[in-house]
Amino acid sequence: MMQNTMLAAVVFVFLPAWFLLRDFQNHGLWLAYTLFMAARGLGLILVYCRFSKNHVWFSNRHSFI
Amino acid sequence: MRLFSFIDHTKQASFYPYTLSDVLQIVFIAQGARLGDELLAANSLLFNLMMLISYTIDGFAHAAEALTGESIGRGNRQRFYQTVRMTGYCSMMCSVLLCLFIGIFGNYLLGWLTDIPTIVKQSSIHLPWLILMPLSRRGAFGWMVFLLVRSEPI
Repeated sequence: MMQNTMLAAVVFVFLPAWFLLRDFQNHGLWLAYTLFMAARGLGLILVYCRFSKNHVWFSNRHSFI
Repeated sequence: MRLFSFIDHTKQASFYPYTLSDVLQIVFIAQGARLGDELLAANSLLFNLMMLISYTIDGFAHAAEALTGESIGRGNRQRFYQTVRMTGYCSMMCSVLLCLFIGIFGNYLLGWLTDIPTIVKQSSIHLPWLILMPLSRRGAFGWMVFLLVRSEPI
């Protein structure tokens, strides 16, 4: 799960943001990086909430990561 | 076989994300280098300050890792959620303090790191991004942990 959220943050947030903000030079780069960090955090928060709701933490299933 | 599955889990849970984040930092530095030597120097100064931020916030992440792992091992739900909440609060407060710290003393810190005026000037132009960084980063590192913990076959 962690690699999925990470990949999603890179592919759907960092790369497009960086591509769209090329005109802003270094500021665009920093904004893209900040957005990437925020997206990763948000993705993981969503996953955490879903797992808590479905009682995944204390179940014996190990199929997810 | 159990050992191999453990390695698989660890690889998926921590190896790929951390490697990706390192690759992204290298891309970041390479892109900064394309914009000129001064910006490259300024970015590397700011990355030094970012190391300080991540060092501080990762402390809470590691604490959360150990404590949530322990409570899952004991099967103690209440303690698990309490740990999540407490480390969340602590890292939030810490990141707000870091924001204030960098906002107030950021320019002094940059002055300590280098004595070339143009680079200090370039860095301080980009300092506001660094002030935002603890807040956006806290989300990432504060919560990443809980998935890492659970990934180990217990």
